[in-house]
Amino acid sequence: MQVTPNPTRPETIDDLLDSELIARVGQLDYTSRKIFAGKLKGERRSKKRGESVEFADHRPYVEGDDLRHIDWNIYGRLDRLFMKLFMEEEDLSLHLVIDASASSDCGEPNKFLFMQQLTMALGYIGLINHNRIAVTTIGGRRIESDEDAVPALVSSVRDLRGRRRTQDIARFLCSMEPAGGSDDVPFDEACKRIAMQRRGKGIMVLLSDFLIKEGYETGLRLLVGRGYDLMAIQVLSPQEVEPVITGDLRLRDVEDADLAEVTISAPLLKKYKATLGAYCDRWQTFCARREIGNLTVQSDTKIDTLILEYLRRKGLLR
Amino acid sequence: MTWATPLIAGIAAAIAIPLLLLLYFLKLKRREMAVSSTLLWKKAIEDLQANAPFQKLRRNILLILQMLALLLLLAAIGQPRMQADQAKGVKHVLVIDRSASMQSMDGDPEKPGAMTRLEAAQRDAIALVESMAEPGLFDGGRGDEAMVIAFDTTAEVRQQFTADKELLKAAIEGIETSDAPSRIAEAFVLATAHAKPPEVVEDVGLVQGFGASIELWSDGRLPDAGDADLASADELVYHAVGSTDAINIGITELRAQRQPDNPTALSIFTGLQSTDTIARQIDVELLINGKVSAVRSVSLAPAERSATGQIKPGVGGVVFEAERTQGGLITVRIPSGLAGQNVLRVDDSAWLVVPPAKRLRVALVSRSLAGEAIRFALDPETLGLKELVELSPEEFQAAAADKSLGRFDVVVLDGWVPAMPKGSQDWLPPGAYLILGAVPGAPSGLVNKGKGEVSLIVDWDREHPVLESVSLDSVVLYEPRQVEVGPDSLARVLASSDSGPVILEMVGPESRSIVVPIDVASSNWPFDVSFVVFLASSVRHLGLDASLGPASVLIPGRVLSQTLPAGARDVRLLDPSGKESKLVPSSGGAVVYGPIRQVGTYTISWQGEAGSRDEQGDSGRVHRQLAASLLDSEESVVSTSTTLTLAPRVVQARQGQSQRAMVAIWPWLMLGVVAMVLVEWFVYNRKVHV
Repeated sequence: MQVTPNPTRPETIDDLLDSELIARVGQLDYTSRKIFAGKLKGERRSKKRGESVEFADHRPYVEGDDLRHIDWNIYGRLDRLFMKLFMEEEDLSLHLVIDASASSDCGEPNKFLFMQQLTMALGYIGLINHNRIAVTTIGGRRIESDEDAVPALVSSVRDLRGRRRTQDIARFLCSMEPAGGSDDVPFDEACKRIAMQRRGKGIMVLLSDFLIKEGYETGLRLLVGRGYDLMAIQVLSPQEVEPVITGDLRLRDVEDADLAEVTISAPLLKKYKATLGAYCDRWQTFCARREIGNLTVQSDTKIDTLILEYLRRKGLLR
Repeated sequence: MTWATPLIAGIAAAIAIPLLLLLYFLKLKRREMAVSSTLLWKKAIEDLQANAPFQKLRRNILLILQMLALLLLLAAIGQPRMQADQAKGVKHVLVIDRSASMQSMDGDPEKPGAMTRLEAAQRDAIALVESMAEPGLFDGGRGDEAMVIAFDTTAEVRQQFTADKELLKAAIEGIETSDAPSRIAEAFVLATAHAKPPEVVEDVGLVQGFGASIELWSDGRLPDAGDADLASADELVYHAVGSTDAINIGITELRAQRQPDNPTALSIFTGLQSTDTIARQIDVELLINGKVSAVRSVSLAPAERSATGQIKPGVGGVVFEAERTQGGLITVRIPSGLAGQNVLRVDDSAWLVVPPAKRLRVALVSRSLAGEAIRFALDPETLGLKELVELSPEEFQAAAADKSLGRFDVVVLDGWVPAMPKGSQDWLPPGAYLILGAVPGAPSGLVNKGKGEVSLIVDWDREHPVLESVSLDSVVLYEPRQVEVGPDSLARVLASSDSGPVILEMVGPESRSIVVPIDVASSNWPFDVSFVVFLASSVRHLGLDASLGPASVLIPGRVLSQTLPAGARDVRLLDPSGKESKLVPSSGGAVVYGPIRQVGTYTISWQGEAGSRDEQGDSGRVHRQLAASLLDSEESVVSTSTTLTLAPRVVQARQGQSQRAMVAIWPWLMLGVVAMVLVEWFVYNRKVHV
């Protein structure tokens, strides 16, 4: 819950993805409940009839069709021109979005670090399966930039394909640090921008704590409305789930500097937990209604457990 | 319930309560903490406030507890008190003998750690004070209490009942020895009066208070212990101080006499006693004005010690003869150096002031038929008088009014006594009187009962100087005036007939008199030789002996009272220790000092006229020397008595008597404050932790 005093920032890919995890996730690939149209030929069966070796259907020749696909055998027997239709195999577009607003820089272990590591692992899985990967941060700024620099609404790397682009994801993730709050990077606006910039449909994995004052509903609605197969992962720090604070406190929101004066008492803590539970339930119900895959995890969850168990169970990976 | 300091509590409340409220509203400074989002917290607070009906109260419970603690504290500052039955702790009355015999140092005085009996008594008394139970804060002050009484001839309350040990110790340590003989009756009266104040009990009336424990430190030489008025409820603890076989030799009598026909011949009679069981031979020194004038050896008989421990001291005496016209200070002393065999130093010396030899001036006021016989008996030549002046009652009154009566050594009043002004303490003007056929006024305590029947004189004090060589056997009283001696009278009966006193001796504040109430003319006494001898002895006794005999010696423990000539001013008294005190004479010239505590010579000096026995000093001041000596045969027996015989009167004792007392409530309130603070601490912790 509290801001992590001196958060560890990953510097290389080794800080984000260890070799053991690489070995374990090598067999995984994404699944999607929807079949999307890809841009490039890929490993995924497309709705389109395409040029793969797998036969799909025949149709009568019309003027202008590629003569190479005429089934000459049928012409020989029937003396009519039929086109041979093959299954099209396309690539999958995978969009990984992480919330890099200031609130992510909280908790022990740090929520942002957790999200970076998870994104890296998911991105790696995408890359090795020849999917088209985009990684976007909502808010946040580049580490090299000025302290006072205005956080970007969204920053991204796009169209990464192939195992050798792993470094690109790592470099991008390592270059970012959380910044910005609901004032300068409103969640709705960011979602709108992402939805507008979309190229093609695909799977989107959104990592955030979803503790958004103005509400997460509009943003999620915008994203899912564009046809993404959306997976929302709510990352909460253990301190947010089980606060360990005492005394008379003035709680300051890191994003909007809003103040809440509390005297921590047993009934208040009880009430807080009940409120959190209700909040998460409502979020999950919202997601479920809109076919958004959802999962709430604590930032102390092991990445491999999360990927190999939770996300497989959720049907994101297979 | 009453409040001891309600105003202070009110002021404190007026300041503290608004201050607490102000502080509460200003609130504590909260610790700031940056969190990821206040969203859930705000929601939780809102929900909590909306759902809890007593939220306001719950939020303020600390304030309420603080307010309660503060109110209790303020109430404690107000010091509320309550009437309650108070069962007090033990009450001790510490009665400490400081009489002359308590100066005895038993054992070798040179030995380190040697202490007088008084010091030993003080040490023991302080030990008792130390062992007293302290009052507890919450049991209504039920500690032991003690009071301190010191006594010699008189008793004095040195400290009223208190539980304060320091006060008690200071009071005990402050007791100094006196040279006065011991009399315990007054101490017991004081002790019982303080320890058992009578109280009014509903439906019963005035009753005696509860009993006290009287702790007596003494060597037990208390001649009046048998008269002690002690209730059976009183517990008397007698702490015997000193040694039972202490030996002492002391001077118990000192008297001087001049021959009436040869006033320059001075005889000094000295009586001594010894408590040693073997016969002793000791030297006695006579000093006149500080110079040794004679040393005589005296044999002292062995003392007898009875089986019960009673001691009958062996006595001895010596008469010094001296030719001396002038007055002077006579000192008789026994030499020191009898270590271990003479533990008391106070009675080793005795002093006596002897006036210069003189012929007496006698005045006669005669209103009866016996006047001629009296005039015949008081023949100046036969008696060696300087003059005999006859006064009429009017002349006497005039002389009394202008205070010129002092020029007569003796006044003989025959059949008449002057009327004294109303309210006068004395029944005669200052001076020495022989009164015949009349009864002095009411303050004398003598009551005139009218004439009685024919009677004979049946008994008289044959040892009194006035009646030493007189036989009254043949005197027949025909119509004797019957006189009753009142209970408060200072009269001492010297001779009595079968119908009442015939000759009395009276010592008033400023007058001495020998009173013969019967009309001697209605008896055959004027025709008897004893009448002439009696008159001559009386005049001599009143005029000379009175200034030489025991009556002129001051006794420690008594009040020094002297009449100075009229107009004396700037009166000072120099006591034996060299301390000077200022005295203020009364309108009649009387000065009072004391009770005196030390033996030795006291000198009164003043500016003004000198009386017949005073010396005119070089500096224009007049000096009068007075001597104080112990001269008490009881006190000189210093062996400690291990038993104390009292004659307790049976008094109905009341058991378990309680006393109404104010009980302080503030300690309880302070306890309440502590409890409140603990509860607050608990509540605060419950709020903060789970």
